[in-house]
Amino acid sequence: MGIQFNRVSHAYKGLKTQYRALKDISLQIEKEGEFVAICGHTGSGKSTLVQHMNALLLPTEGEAIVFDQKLPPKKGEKINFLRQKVGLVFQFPEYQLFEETILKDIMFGPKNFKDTEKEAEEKAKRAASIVGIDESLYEKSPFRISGGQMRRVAVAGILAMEPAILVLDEPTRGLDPKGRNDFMNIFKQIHEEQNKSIVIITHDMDLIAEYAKRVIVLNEGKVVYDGKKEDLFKHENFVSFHLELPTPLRIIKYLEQKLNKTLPPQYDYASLLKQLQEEKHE
Amino acid sequence: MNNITIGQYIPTNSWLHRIDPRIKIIALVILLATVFIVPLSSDLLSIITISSLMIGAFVLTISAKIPIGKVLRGLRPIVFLLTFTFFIQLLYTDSSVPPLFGPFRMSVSVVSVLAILIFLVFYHWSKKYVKFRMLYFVLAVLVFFFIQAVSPVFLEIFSYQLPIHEEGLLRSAFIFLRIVSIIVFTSLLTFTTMTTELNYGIESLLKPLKIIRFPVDMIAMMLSLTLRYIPTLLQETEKIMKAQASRGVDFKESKTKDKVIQIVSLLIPIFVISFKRAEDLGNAMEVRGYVIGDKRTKIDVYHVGLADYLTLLASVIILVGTIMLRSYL
Repeated sequence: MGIQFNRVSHAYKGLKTQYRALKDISLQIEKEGEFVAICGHTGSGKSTLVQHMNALLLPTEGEAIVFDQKLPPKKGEKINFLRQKVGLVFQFPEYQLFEETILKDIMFGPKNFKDTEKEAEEKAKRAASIVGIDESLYEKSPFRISGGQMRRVAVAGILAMEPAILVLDEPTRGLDPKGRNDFMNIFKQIHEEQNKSIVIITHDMDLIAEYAKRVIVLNEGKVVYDGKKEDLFKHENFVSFHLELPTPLRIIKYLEQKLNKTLPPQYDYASLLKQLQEEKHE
Repeated sequence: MNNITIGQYIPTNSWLHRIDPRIKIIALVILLATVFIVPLSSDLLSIITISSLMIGAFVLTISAKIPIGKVLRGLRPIVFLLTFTFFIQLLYTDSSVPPLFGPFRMSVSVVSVLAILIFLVFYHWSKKYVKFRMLYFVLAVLVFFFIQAVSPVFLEIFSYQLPIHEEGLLRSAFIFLRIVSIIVFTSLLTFTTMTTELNYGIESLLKPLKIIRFPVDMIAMMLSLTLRYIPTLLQETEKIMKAQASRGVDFKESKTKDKVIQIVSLLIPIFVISFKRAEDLGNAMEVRGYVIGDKRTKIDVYHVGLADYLTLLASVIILVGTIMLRSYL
């Protein structure tokens, strides 16, 4: 079992008031074979939820079990190892770079988990090649490359720790469409080749439709939907989630209306194109 | 991170909140001057003056609806200083007058040193569980002397006499009252005045310096931007801390040796972010027509009203009264 939440609530403490960002959340994420997208309004508790997954935040009520470690931990229990098991990439991760060279920055994570210099370097090079950082950039300063590449380096910094589960908080935010697809393909590749579970926060329904297998929808700190993506778009209360249908599905819906016949739903552009070509032949 | 409070404004909207910030600053300066004018002596009159000033400060606090607990918490950082000056003044010796208590024979021996060491360890262990740490610290210093006074004379290294004079007690009480009133007065200003108001007050009061080409408005703008960005930077710091914690930096459990690189991993990103923010802000200001050194108008224009004049008058009366009293001393 990877991550398990049992009626977890989290309250942020204000000066006098408490703000309950998460309310009574129960869910499970296996450590292999999952591709989960978390979506919901701003302020619905998405970031708070994922920060519980590597114990940056601890439940104020209820219990989370991450890799057999109960959270909140007992007094004196060390939880730092969880951050290696569950790699969390923050929003705009490019701001966390600080080393002199790109390679050193990627090595920072593994070295914190007591890897030797040599092991850390190997892991860093492997991670760099996954995200597409060229060998010629290794010795460059991370502050002298473009924003998109900085983000690649930052993601590599997490990948180099070789986490069992990869959690990403809006990794495609502020990127152009090509960069967005590049990143998503990297995550897809990691998911398919290493069978790692991936949890991703995103607002982009097109990305969810194309890549995710399972979707969790949050609204005001509560899980309002947790299930397969195909079922989400057919869900009777879909309107109440305040989400939009992904573009390929909208095109299909439009065609169904115009042509007055039912078509199989499509979730990405490639299969939509194939479908349309078949329709044309008919 | 959130417990760092700078310029902790408490919005109770009392009469003191509504006083013009310039008047409040001037009144504070006058009152601080008054506190310092009262001569340090064991004379009854000056003790009475300083205590009435302190009581006045607390009355002001109550009338401004500021919780006393908040003010007392403001005293916390100077407890060490207070205790230190209190005991230094207590050691005041004038051999011509017989002491009030003692003299006590203080012995520094192997026994008492050991006892003190044991006590120190106990103190460090137990202070986590004590609620009123300020009082506990004062108590600890008292115990420190007490152990020396009562420990058996055995394997003695050296000994000294500690007489406690009436004068010493009064002087230390005086110093205590003086420091407390200064802190209370000053914190009243920050409790009842928003940083923007304070900034306006300082800018307005420094205006005469423009004659000697001192860039008052530039300094004021710098000050207000700095104050504005403290919470933002704290937020960014927290974010970076979390991001680095996700990369295995352990700010709590790690050894001192690793601490250096961890702090670097925090400092450099914060540096980069603050430069970027500053640049963005500069552009945003220029786009909206900000020109350094140009004449600017304000949204809030303050008018000095009756209450303001009365406040100023009252503080001047207090100052003059204290000066008059001084001539009787």
